[in-house]
Order: sequence, then C-alpha cells, then structure tokens
Amino acid sequence: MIKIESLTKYYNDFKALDNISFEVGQGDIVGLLGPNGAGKTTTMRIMTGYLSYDTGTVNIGGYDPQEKPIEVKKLVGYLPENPLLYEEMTVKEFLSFIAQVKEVKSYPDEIERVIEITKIKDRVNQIIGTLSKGYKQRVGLASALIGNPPILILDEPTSGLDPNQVIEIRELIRSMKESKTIILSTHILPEVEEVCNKVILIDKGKIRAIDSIEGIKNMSKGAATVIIKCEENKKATEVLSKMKYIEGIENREDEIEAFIKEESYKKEILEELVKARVGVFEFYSPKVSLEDVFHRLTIKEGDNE
Amino acid sequence: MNKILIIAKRELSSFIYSPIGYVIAFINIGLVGYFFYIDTIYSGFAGMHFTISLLATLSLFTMPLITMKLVSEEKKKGTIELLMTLPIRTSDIILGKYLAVLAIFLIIIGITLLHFLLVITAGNPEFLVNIGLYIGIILEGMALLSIGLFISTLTDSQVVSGLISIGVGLLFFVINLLADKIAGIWGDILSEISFGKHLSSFFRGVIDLKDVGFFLLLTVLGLLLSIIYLDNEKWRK
Repeated sequence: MIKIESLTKYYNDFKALDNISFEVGQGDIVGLLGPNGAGKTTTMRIMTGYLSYDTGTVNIGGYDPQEKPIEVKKLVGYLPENPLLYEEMTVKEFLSFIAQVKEVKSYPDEIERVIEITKIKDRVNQIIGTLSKGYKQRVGLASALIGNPPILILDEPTSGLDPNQVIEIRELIRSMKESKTIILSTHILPEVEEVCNKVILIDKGKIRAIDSIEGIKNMSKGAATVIIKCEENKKATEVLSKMKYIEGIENREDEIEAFIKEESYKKEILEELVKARVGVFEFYSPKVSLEDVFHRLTIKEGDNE
Repeated sequence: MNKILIIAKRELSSFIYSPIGYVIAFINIGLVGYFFYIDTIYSGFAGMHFTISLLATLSLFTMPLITMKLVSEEKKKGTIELLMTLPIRTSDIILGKYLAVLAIFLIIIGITLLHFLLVITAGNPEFLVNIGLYIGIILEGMALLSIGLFISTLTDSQVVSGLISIGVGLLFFVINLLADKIAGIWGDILSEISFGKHLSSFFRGVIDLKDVGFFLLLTVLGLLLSIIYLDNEKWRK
C-alpha cells in the first residue's frame, strides 16, 4: 500500500530526511517513532502530498504524490499534529465541507457514520472554536475518516488528550486495523506498544530500525543497559567513557545509564568502577523495554556527533 | 457540486461570521448613500457619476479589506495544510476564494442599483454613460480583488497583506500623475498601466476593448500568480 525508497528531503541546506526506505501493507498499524525534530512530520507530509521530496521514490496506493497528488489525496485520510479546523464553523458544517470537497456521495449519511465512530454526536451543532482540545482532536479524526479512505496518516493522534480520551482514541485506531493501512507518529512509547504491530524508529532524518515490537526489543538481547548509582557520578562517567565496550552513557542527576555492547561485559565494568573507587552502591540491569531500545539507538547517534 | 463553488460558499460564510464584512458593508452603503443624497438628490443631477466615482476610490481601501485575509489567515492558522491535503486543485482553491470576494463586491455594487432606480424614476439619465460607469467600476474591482488575493498568498499577516494591497492599488491609481511628468516611452508605459487613464474612458461612457482588456489582464495575472505561488512549496513550514 505504501512503499518508500531512498527518500531524501532537504530544507535549504538542512537534510531533514536522509535516504529512508520502508514499506507498509494493508492491515498494518505502523508507529513512526522518534524524538521531536526526527523527521516524522516531514515524512508524513510527503506521503500526503503536502511537501515535495528531493530524491527517492514514494508510492502511495500505486501513485506518486508528486505526479498524481489528487489521486493520493483521495486515498489518504490525514490528521495533522494540531488538528486544522475552521474554528468559526460548527462541527456539522465543517464535516459537510470536508465531505463535499472529498466528493463523498450521500454525504449526510457519511457524516453520521464518522460522528458515530468518533463519538461527537453531542457536539455536532457546537462552534468548533468553543470545543475542548479532546473534542477538536476527534473532529480532526472524523474529517480524516470521511470518505472511508484506505490509508490513514495520523500525526501524534493522542497529543494533548486526557488519559480517558487517549484510551478511546487508541481503541478506535485499533478497531480500524483490518480494513486500513495506518501510519501514526508518536514519541509516546507505550502508545506504540499498545497500538502498533510494526515500528519504524527514526532519528535525525535517518531510520534506525524497522521491525515488529518484539523484534525491536530483541535487538537489545545480547546488548544491555545498566543503571549505576554511586557517590561520585562525574568520576564514574569519566571511567565509563574510556571503556571500549560502552556504547553510550546518559548521566542523570542521581544515576548513570550505560549502554553496553554485550551483557557479558557487565562484570568487567563493575570491577573497573570498584577499582576506581567511585563508591558504587547500586548496579543493575532494568527489564528491556521499547524505551531502552529507543534510548539506545537515539543516544548512541548523539554521542557520535 | 463544483469544488470552486464549495470553497466560495465556505469563504462567504466566513465573512458572515467576521466583523470585517459588516464594516465594509457599513462603509460602502453608508458613504455611497450619503454622497448620493448630496450629489444626486440634493443637487438634482440625474446620474450615478459622482456615486460611482466615489465607489471607485473607496474600492482602493475596501477591496484590500475584503481580500487581506483570504490566504494569509489560512497560512497563519495552518488551515492551508488542511486544504492542500484534501483532493482539490490549487486553482480551485484560488478561484473559489476569488469568486466569494467577487460576489461580495457585486452585492455592494448591486446596492447602488437601487439608487440608480431612483434616478431613472425621477429623472432622465444618460444610459450609456451610466452603463460605462458600472462596467468600469466592476472591472476595476475585479482587478483589485485579484491583486489583493495574490498579495494575501505572500504573507501570513492580514495587516501586512491589507496594507500592501492598499499601497499597490493606490500606486496603480495615481501613477498617471507621474506619467504626465515623464516624456518618452517610460511616460507612455506608466500612463498605460494607470487605473485613472483606463477608468476615465468608462466614466465618459466610452467602452474601449483596450481598457476592458487591461483590467481583465490584471485580473488573470493576479489569479495566475496566486496559483503559482501557492503551488510553490517554499513558503510551507
């Protein structure tokens, strides 16, 4: 359904996307995961035809958004990061406008359908500008769903919502899994674990990993993270940074997180720290989570620069 | 329904919600009525000359008020991204927006027809001159709206868009004053692009295709530049 190959995008001299490639099939819910400024929104905007790209190929349901933008836009329902709505209109007026632009036949029925799905029936006659952030997000989602597009591109669909609304939106996304291809961007790791069946980890415009949630977690097998609590953090960081089996270090206020190449090196690391007399009083490996992998892959790159 | 009409309808409804629409209506209807009373009713002149001339000058200020928010507001609020990720061509967006402001302008002009009806009932106006007046003001308005629309695509600030549009309109209006002072081809060129020169024929009741062509060319140029600029993604953040 979606195939992106060697995609590169520049903003003037800044390389926003660097040779990224991935594929998404029907029934997939793919999480585009990365820190702020990683290139998630740029990737999504290219897929919707809003931005052009410099090199590579983009295929959305058989069309290149640069050559056939209208065809691509017919296939894609897009929810931008902050839902873009005409705030002076009522919910119903706005959805009618979107449905007419999308040339939806018998659009009053279609509006009823999306209102039902997104649970905004009690707000249909309210001016959008007076709605809460959560309801605005739902109206944005309703507008993306109008016309039942086979591809949904959702940029941070749960940002700014309260916990109950987050659960509802995630359930809604999961419920559409069978019939659609969904790409959602987020930097909330539990969201990916809960909703997606595939993860694309992106950082500084480059893809760090593409795999299932389990596959991504397995990447950390062999490798490990250790948490060190000691009396002399600064000295310990210096000692750790000289060790060849350390891939990355994150020095927090009360602890140090070190990413090591293989679990078997843990013994040597502890020995060195003890030898350096930094006053180690805790040394342990936390359970591997998606967050660890994300941290490892993004911090490692940061250290290299 | 045609997508141009869908955009136009939404744009028109946004004027209903915005105070600017009412301000423009008040300025036009109020001032035009006042001067119609002074010049036509009070002095007994059977024609729309003064009223339409006033409207032509007022348009330099009111047309930018209508056009200033067309695209700049969408850029400011980000809703331009919504429009440009929907299955609609940029040309349809621009033409729809243009159609909406043209409709508002024609309503303003339409209201003066009530005044004209009074003139016909009470006096014996020169029809050809009055028709010329109306064609002239409509063509001038079409060009001003198109220029204003283009300028509103260039910025995300309504104020900047409005002020530049007023400046450009005034420049077109008064450039013939400079043209008179410059001899040779440059003087001729400046004179040819002046609104004053082209409007003066209409206001004498002379409908010259060259004058009609001038305003239509400006209108098409403004629309084309708007489409080209909006399609160019350099401004997109």
